[in-house]
Amino acid sequence: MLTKIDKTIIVIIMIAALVSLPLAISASSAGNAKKILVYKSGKKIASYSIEEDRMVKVKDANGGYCLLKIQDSKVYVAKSTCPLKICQKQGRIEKAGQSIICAPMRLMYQIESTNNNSSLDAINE
Amino acid sequence: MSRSSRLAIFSMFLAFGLILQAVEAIYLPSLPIPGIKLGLANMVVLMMLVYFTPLEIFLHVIARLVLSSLILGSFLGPAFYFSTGGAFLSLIAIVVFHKLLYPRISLIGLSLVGATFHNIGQLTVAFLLVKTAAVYMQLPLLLFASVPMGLIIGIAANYSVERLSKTGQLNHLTIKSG
Repeated sequence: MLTKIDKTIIVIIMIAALVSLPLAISASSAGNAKKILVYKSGKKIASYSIEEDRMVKVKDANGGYCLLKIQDSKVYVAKSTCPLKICQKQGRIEKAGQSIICAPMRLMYQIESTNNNSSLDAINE
Repeated sequence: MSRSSRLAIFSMFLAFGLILQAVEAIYLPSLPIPGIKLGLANMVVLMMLVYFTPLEIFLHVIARLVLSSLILGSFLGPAFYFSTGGAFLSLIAIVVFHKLLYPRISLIGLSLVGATFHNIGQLTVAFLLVKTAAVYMQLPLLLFASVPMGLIIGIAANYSVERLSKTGQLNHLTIKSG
């Protein structure tokens, strides 16, 4: 019942599926390039890519500072001069929309995904 | 052959497609991977290739998409756009392959082409809606799935057309080129 062309098509689809496998994986990670945004008193003051490791010292008006560490695509507060160190205890964040807040210093760090609709987890059919 | 009899048979095929689409949506358990489905309604498109012109099939698909989404309550929802994109791309691909290769490509081959392009169209619409290249992560999976699904639908369409032509009821419809 299958003609020669039918069989060729099956083979082509299978090959296309195999070839698209690595392409699809790279496309998905490219769409996920994330940035960490730094807000001070509600205003955005800086943003950094979380793909490269780095340390950022964010100073507040009173001479205190907050040491932000970006490592392995995760972000955390390594050291802070604020009294309760709640920001340090919030741990590592890595997903778009997650945030660390340091209330006494009026700082907020939030991860942003480069696409605007990252709030969509899934679409139900 | 009169226009009205052609219209009646066209409507019959439309009803057939609508029933299959509704049955599939309501009774077939949905697979854990979104986007993979049998595509029963495509069987009707394949059968129509034998009896109708591409323009008529195009109208059939538009009518089926609108009516079935009204029946199922997905009209203008995201799933509606996905299936519209998939259905049109798949139809175009089927018609082109049919034109170019028909006697050498069987309905099964056309079904495979349709299934593949349905998935590509669906993901492209999803990409345009969500604007994340991550939707293409599903492509390899959907391509693999389109082989068994396409085969099942193609074989079913093949049998149906065989039976139909044996009854001789629709033979007067067969277009000149077929």
